[in-house]
Amino acid sequence: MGNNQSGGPDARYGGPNDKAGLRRHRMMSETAKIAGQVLPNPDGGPPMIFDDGNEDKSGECPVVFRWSFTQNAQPRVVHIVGSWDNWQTRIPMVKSTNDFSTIIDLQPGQYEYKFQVDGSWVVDDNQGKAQDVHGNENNMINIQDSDFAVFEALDEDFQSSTAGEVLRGESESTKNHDTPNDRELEKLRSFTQEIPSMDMLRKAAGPPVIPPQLMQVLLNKETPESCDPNVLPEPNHVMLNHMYALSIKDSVMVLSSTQRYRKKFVTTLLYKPV
Amino acid sequence: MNNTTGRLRRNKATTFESPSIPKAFFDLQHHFIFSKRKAPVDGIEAIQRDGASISEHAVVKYANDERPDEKEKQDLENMFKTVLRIGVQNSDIVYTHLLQLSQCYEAMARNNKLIVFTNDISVRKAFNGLIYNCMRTGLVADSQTLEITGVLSVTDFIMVLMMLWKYRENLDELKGTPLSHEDFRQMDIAYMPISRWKGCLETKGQLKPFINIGLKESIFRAVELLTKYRIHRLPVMDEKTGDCAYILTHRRILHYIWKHCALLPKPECLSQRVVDLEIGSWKNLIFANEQTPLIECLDMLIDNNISGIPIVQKNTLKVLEVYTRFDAASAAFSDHIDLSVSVTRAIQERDYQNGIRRDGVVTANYTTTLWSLIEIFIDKNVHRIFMVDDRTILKGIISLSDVIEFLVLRPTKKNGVTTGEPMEK
Repeated sequence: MGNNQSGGPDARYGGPNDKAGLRRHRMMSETAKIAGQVLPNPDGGPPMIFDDGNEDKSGECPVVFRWSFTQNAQPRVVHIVGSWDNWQTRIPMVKSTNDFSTIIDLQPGQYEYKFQVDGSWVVDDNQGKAQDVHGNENNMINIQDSDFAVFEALDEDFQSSTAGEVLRGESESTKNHDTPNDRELEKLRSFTQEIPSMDMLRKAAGPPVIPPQLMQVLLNKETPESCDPNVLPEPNHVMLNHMYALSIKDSVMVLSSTQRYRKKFVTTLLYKPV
Repeated sequence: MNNTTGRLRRNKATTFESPSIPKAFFDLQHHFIFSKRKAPVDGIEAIQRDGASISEHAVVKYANDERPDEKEKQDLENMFKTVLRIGVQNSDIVYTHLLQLSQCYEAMARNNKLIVFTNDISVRKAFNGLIYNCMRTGLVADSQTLEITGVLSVTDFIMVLMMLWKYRENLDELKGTPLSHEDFRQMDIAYMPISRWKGCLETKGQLKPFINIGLKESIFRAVELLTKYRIHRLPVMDEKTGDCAYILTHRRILHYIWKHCALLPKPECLSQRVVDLEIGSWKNLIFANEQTPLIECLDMLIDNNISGIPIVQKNTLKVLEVYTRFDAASAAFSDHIDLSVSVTRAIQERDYQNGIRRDGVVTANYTTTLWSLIEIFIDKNVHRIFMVDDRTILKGIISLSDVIEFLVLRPTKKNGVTTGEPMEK
């Protein structure tokens, strides 16, 4: 409903603006669809969750630009240039199955842009167009804050959920069916270049434990007296190609490893002075 | 075969209480049928050299392999496979053919233990490693390239010990005094690296060449090498990578024959007495009595290239004990190394060593059949059996290598003399 209300003032300007309003609506739908797909798995793109305290990113909105092609005419490389930085930077677009796309953070406002497809300047006929003062034809887009209300709603919902509480380290004693396990928590965390503080390091868990099969060392097993000392029990397959070391004694290093040869195994001990 | 008398042993084809094995009655023509791809090439050549004929046959394949190929060719490949067949002319040669058609890989255990020393490790530390692992043989690798260049065994250690002792005997002030462990540590020879020790052996002409065999070669070829060079342990190497898979011994070969003998026709010689077959040594026996000095026992072991000698009573030749090379190797762990003591006292001191298994003395009556003797070898896991009479007086010595040579190599020599044409049906 809010989106429809935001379209209201444009309708007053008459016929040409009606067409522009329809195109903007299609762009909003695509943006919302992309947001729904990308949000659960942030992977290297621009941050999806707003931090109002961060002045550098306040007010910026991620905008998806796409260049579609058919299987018969696939361009090799596509760049986009726009008036957001006074046409300075040619931004390469990422190729996908049916299109090239990229996401650019933009302040709300009106912008003009153009595509360079395999070295040729091209305007997307499916998007809005405008002519600059020199008479050239460019694509045109109008960014409004209300287009990204869905992001704020999702972020608010996440913060109030059990997973959000666990990530913040609150109320660990209370557990319900929604409490995520370690694996699910791993997916929710994002990776940054920030070095954690000493307090966070102390809270962090230790490294994972060694698999229990590797603790059973073949050479430490007690073979019965009647057995051939040249024969060892059959190894577990996870123990193959691992190196075991005896502590250095009398300046001699002892290493051992078990390899498979066809259907049988060879355990070799190497004695070497150090 | 009367299976109802007595308890069954590990093999259903044998009964321990059977007084004698009846003579095999061959009214059928026995054949070895084997895959052409898996049989060793040198084994097939050895069979053809002996005059036997090998024929190819196409048999119906029961398992359908999924193989992408042309349609007509695929149908033929799926229906038939080629095998080789060789007839067994007489029962004596059956074990020879078994080993000729078996790769050395077949005799490998499920998980084999190997020790490799680099040649810059000292001789003393290498022997400590061997004793610690209860092993008789370790491999020697180049310290730079880690390629296997030789073997190190307890025989080398005995030679080091004897060299040390004789050197001290030549010094007048140290003559007769025991060699303490501290003295042994301080001597230069204890810290000699393996490469230098091999160099000393080479100058003396006592260095044996490094004999090895490939994994895909036949066990028959391995028996030939073991007998020709009079060695007990043969490293089996991977031809492509130069790595060692395991060390083949007479014991492992006998166990391999034992595993398969139930499926094979039994030679007549198995039911004959070993004294009639003339296996082993029955004259000019090498033995020591209770008062023989240890250094003389070691001399007998090294000079005659044997691995154990019986300790007998002086007048009656009654067998009391056995002294082996492995017993001599463990002498280095006593507080004092004294090679002038009697062998009986050395054996008593040897019994107090912890954690090292000792082969006891194993005897058998000299009228025992070959089959019973093989059973004793399998059960006791020893390398030699002393043949005695009812009063335990020494009559002969049969070692494992004698038995293997009799079962595997003798039919080939016998077949070589008698050039018989194979019977065609």
